[in-house]
Amino acid sequence: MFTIKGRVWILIGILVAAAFAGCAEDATVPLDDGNGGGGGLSRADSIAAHWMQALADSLENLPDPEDAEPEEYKDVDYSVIRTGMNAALAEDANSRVAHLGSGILDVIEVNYDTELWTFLDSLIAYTDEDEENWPLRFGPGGWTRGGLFLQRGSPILGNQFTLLATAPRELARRSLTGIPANLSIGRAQEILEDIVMPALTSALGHIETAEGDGGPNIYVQVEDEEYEIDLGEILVFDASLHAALAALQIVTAYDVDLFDAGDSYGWVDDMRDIDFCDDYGYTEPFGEHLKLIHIEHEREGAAVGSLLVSIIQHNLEERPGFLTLREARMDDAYQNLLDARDKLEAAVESIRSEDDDDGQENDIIQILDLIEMDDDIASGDDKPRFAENFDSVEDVLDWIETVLTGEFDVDEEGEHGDIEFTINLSALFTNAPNDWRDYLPYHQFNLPADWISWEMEISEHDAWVGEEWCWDICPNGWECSTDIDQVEWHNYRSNFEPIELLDDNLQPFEWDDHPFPYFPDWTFGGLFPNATEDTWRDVAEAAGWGDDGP
Amino acid sequence: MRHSTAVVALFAAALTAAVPGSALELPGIGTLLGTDNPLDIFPERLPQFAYAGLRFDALDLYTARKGSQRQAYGAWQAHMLGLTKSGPVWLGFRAEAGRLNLLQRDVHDLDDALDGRRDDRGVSGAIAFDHGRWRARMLVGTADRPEGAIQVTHAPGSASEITARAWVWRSSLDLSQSIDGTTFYFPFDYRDRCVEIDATTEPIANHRLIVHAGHKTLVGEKTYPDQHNLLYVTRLRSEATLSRESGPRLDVSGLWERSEFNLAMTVDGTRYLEARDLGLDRWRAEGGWRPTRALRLAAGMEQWTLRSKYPGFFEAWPFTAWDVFATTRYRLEAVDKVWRIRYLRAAWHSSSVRSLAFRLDGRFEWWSDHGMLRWKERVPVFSPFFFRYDHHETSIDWPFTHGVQLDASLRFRPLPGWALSVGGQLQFPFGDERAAHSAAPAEDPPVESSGPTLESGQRGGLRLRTALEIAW
Repeated sequence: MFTIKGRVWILIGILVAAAFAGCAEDATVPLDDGNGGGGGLSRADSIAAHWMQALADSLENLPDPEDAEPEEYKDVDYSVIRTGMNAALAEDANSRVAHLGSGILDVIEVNYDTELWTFLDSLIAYTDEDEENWPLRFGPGGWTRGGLFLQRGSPILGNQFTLLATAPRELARRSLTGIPANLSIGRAQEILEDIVMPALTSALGHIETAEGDGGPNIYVQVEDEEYEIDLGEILVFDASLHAALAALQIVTAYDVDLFDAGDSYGWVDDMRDIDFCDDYGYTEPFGEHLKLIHIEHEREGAAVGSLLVSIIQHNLEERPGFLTLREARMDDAYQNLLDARDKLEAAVESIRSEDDDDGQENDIIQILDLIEMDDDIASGDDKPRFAENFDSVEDVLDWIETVLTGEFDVDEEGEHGDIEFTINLSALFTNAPNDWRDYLPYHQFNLPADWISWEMEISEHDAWVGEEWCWDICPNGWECSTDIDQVEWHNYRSNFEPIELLDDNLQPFEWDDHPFPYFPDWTFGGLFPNATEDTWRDVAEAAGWGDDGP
Repeated sequence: MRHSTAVVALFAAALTAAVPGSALELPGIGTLLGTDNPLDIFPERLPQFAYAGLRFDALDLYTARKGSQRQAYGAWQAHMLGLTKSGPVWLGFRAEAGRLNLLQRDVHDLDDALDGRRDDRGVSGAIAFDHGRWRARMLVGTADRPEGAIQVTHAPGSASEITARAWVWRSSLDLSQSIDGTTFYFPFDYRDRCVEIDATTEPIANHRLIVHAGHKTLVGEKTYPDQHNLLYVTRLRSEATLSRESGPRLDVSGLWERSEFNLAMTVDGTRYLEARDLGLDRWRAEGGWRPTRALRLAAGMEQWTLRSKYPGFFEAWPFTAWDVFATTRYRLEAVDKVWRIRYLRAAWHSSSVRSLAFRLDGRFEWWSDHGMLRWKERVPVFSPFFFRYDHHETSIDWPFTHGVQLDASLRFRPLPGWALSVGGQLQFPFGDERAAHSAAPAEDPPVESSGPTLESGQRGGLRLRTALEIAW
């Protein structure tokens, strides 16, 4: 078997060989006969089709991401294929195949951006350190080494967006365990803005051109099978680009950095250093034998919770920018969501109208796929009310348009009655809140000294004669004895109350008298038009929220 | 690996479905598929005035349970045939009732289930005709279920015979499968169409040649309004047996058989399953010795070889329609299986009591086999444009190394014209030497558990048959 480095070199070798082969074959690319001949492709389209096949070959040769090392992906170079696509565009600036290939490359190359990899390397290095230092908590494989890339993620967005989708998740995970000084949510947002979003925007431009005049029909060979890429697939890709861009615009719109008083993420290291012996024991003389005192304490959980809440309090009270709009791009996100829906609708229409001479079997998305989806959508006995009349993919798309563009009355069956309210999603984008703190329930932070109160329960158990008991003498390990006559448990439980909810006069209130928080704006900036306190109380009652207490 | 397990299981099921009725000598495969020769119900000889026959078959192909895991594949069938002489022919009817049950619970994963059921009900007209060296048997099905079978036999010599047989018979099978809490239904009707010729020559210099050729098609023939699952299986089978008897006590025989199978499932013009020209070759050599008139001892060898000529494919569909976005597909690359059997055989029959006839045929078999299933999985790398293939290889070795096959029957004639028959076939493996030799060391030492032990057990390979015949 080849080593990892060996495989990388082989991959590089294949790409270099492909480059030379590509140069050599340029002269033999089918030429346009001036009347749509040459396989129906112009010279520029033929050149681009050649490099599309090269791209397919190189992607086919990528190792399984579940087994791959990060280096195997970050060292992959698509510049030769990019040069080929540029050559096709130089031949004909309107080549639809070349624009499709360029759009695809725009997205693929995001995975191989140097600056992005520097950032990701920091994460990986920290992950390795974390894994080494905290093997018990996370265990082998608890962090996925190199698993940020091309992992199978959302089947809808496809692997190309998994990196984008997993990066915020990875950051969120770090926010709970510690982040090196050069890493922050804001830094991740900047990378998305500087590298990823421009690439998607560029890709959208190329794809728009590629869709002109019914789009190209390209045949790609993978092993012994040939696939047809046509307008239906291109429109689906276009929709996914718009959706991904909308998602990135949303996650970069607001300031969600969580700094400590030193304007750093040092607090996560502090949190990682918290290490209490929450479970331990010792023995005391008891008659002729011993009594085992077994302690269960929640100190570590309480300390972590306190630190997290203190950071949130600091950002809410001391950082004016926290939860505010950092970039006015929610309007753009909204337009991208609408475009994604429109592209999907066009894709469905295009696929349904396909009348291939060579049959549907080589189509990636086939008419039958849509028919099966229609069947799935139409069937089902426990559909929500809003979907009761759905019979086809088009019905779902129409519903999405309704929800995105106007007020939509939600009327669904809850656990204890009907859940009814109105939602206007467009308000979230076209009238985006400038500061989400304005919509938090009225509250005040208690004095830190009052956040935690303790309760202790003691229970006893008479041990059997000769019964072996073991206890952890944290941090020094375990000890066992059969000379135990009685076991006494001390269970320390914490009540964690860092926040006190206030009424609309900013006065504390009894939860039993008013088992619901007071919000300054029950419509949340128009997201839920005409909503009042009664609306939400009815919703909570119907949904069964609070059945288990506040 | 969830899908891969399902693919292997489904493909194995497809292969099983493709095996001919006599293949592997497993009792009841034809019953399981509903493709038994329907003309078998006719008596060997026609009576003087009338005939009534009632037959009941029960098949327990395999039943197993282990904890919550359960598997059961079984069937029962009842046939009735009545004939009365009317001029030169015998006229009558044939009625059948039967049920096939397939059941799997938690086999591939918890909460996964597979249920299959086929109800056989039907009445058909029966016609028989014997004249000189010619014999004919015919069944004609009812109008709502058109089916029919005909067999013509000509015996030109005292020991030679040629038989031509053809039938079209219909069945329907309702399959449902639950995966991850979602149930999929695969109901389909299918048609069993078969043409066969058997010929036995007169002995020539102590050699006797038996030749068989047949073509069989199993095809799904009805499209349901909301389901479009069609099955297409063809089998081309030729077989020749050459035997030589040397004196009254020694005999040798050889058999060569070749079958070719084509499996396909096409839905609305799109092919989801295809396995072209799967070849199944079989040869057998057997030598026998008769120390007494009632006893025959024999030793033999046979080999089965299954090979695929062309790559096939199996689309993992429809696990869910939303898989279109994942665009994961499976392709069968090759199947390669060799099964060798060495056996010792003892056959004994007795009719010392006048109204009783007993027959016992047993084989002790040693099995060695090797099989690989090679398949690939199409995985999206850059949706929806680019893919790669992950190649997989799965061993399809039979876990057992030896076993016994028994075939016993008893025929009782209490009164003239009356015959009561009971019989059974049993094939059971009871040795697993390979597992003992190749078992990998356990990763974790066994842990004693104070909890309840898993309930487990398995049985199968049993077919029981009873028949009552009255002739006037």
